[in-house]
Amino acid sequence: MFDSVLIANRGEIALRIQRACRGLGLKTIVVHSEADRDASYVRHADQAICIGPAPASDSYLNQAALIMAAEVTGAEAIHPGYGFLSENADFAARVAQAGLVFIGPSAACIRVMGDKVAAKRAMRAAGVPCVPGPDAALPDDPSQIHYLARQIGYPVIVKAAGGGGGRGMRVVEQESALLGALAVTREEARRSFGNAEVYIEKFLGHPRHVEIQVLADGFGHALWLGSRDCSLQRRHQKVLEEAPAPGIPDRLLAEVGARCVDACRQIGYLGLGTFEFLVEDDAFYFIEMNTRLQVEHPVTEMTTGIDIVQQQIRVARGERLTVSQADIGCRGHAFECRINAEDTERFMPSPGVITRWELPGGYGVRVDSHASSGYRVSPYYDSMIAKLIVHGDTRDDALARLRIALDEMQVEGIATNLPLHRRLVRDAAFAAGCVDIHHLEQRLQEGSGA
Amino acid sequence: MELKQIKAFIDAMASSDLSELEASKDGWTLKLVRRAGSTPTPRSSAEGSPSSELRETEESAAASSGESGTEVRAPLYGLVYLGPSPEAPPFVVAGQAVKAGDILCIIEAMKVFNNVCAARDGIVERILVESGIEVEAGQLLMRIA
Repeated sequence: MFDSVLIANRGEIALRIQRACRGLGLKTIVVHSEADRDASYVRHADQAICIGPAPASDSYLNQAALIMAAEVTGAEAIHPGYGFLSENADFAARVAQAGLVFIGPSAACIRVMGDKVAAKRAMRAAGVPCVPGPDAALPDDPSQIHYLARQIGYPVIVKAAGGGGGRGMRVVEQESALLGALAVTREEARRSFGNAEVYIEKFLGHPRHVEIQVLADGFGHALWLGSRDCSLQRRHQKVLEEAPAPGIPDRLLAEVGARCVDACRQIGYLGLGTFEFLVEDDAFYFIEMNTRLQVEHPVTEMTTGIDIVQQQIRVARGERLTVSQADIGCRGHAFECRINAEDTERFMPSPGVITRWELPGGYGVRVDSHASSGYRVSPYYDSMIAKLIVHGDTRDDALARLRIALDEMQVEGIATNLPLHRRLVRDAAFAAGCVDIHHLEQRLQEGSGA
Repeated sequence: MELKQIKAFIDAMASSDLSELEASKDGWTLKLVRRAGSTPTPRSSAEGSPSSELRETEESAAASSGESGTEVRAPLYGLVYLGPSPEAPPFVVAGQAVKAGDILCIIEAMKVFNNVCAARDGIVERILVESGIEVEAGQLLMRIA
């Protein structure tokens, strides 16, 4: 049972975790780089410690510095947030070896899920539906490779076992292109992930991205907390998310949710996690599991009424889950817009000083952000500066609220993607619901409105 | 770009001895060229598709003619790199001849790499920044004679 948490992250999620800790009466220790010295959450921490210069490799990714900071400040647990070291199995192991609590699953669980082939095998074993294709790395023999691809049927997608998050994959339309694509993907995978293993799957033409949030304690109890739809993506980066995923039959969702919970129990999962699926023609296909808190977690909080970051910390402290699956409902509908410091005409990043910062408000509106007027958006890190979240009784109700909130929000001094969001929430296909993962990029290519 | 702004650029150019002026904002590029014996003519065009696989964008260096040659300025706030990687030799060195379109340096911001290219042929006269430092938008990076 720990009473102090070192927050090994920055920006809005450092603030979000700090709020959760405070709600639980825990002491917060915030680490920061030289570039983030003046951030509001650094000032509000019970204790703050600088761990290095601005580049993330010298600060937020510096494992030794983080563990030393925990030892010096007497922190008993480390919350990794998302990104940075949150899915680094070696870091989780080092934290445990130092006698500290890593707020997340075990290093072994992170390692299995980080290897996409091993993850697929574990999911198949737990009865979670996967994309058609073998749950093993491809052999070297070309005739065997061709045989496997023919069994699946073209088009197929070649993926790196060490990839994920949309990196290290290539679509193959016909047999003649298979071996060439394989060689290139292998080489890329070896260089980028240090693991040349690749595998193949059926390529789905018009899927949606639907994910299921899970929460597990250390006593064999696990829950699924509903669905999220994150189909609006650009270059595999989520732009706008919602909960629940619209148009999916309740019974089908409950069936997949139950499978995810079974999988958590089988692998001894602890804490928060997300099972990501592609959904096409009412069929779910597992793609990967994220073994951490996610950016889009607020839409689940708004629809379940549960502070899931607090829950994540409680199970890490060794508490039992006090709610059962029957208590979990989905009330109304929620959206989240990721507000990024980028020029959406040219998709150029736009770091700099924010000179005007007017936030929307009112019933059902939530903004998670560490920024403010006068805040200098750093060129060293991710471009996300805020998350605008709205809740409504129905999807239409929430969407109407989102349109107003986006119009109210005013940011000057830097360029943001607010204009893109304002166009997206007025897009007829998106308003109708159930668009696929290619929708946003198609709209951008057409240049028509959104 | 608003008509009002275009008018302001024309006025600014008319009251100077510049022969060429180029300004980019919000995906628009305005280029004013003074022909012999005429007033500046506006030529405006929307920029092409921004997408490229490598998340790289190309910026022509903002150029203005001064007595000591062409100034190369940072198109955005970020980190400047004089070479493709820390081990690799720099793109250009002082005294080197460059052609229009040659990469002079890279500005990294938020994991996106933006190439800064030469606006015209010339010789690199001076490099005013060190690789890896933070530069402000509009900061002078190099001079090309």
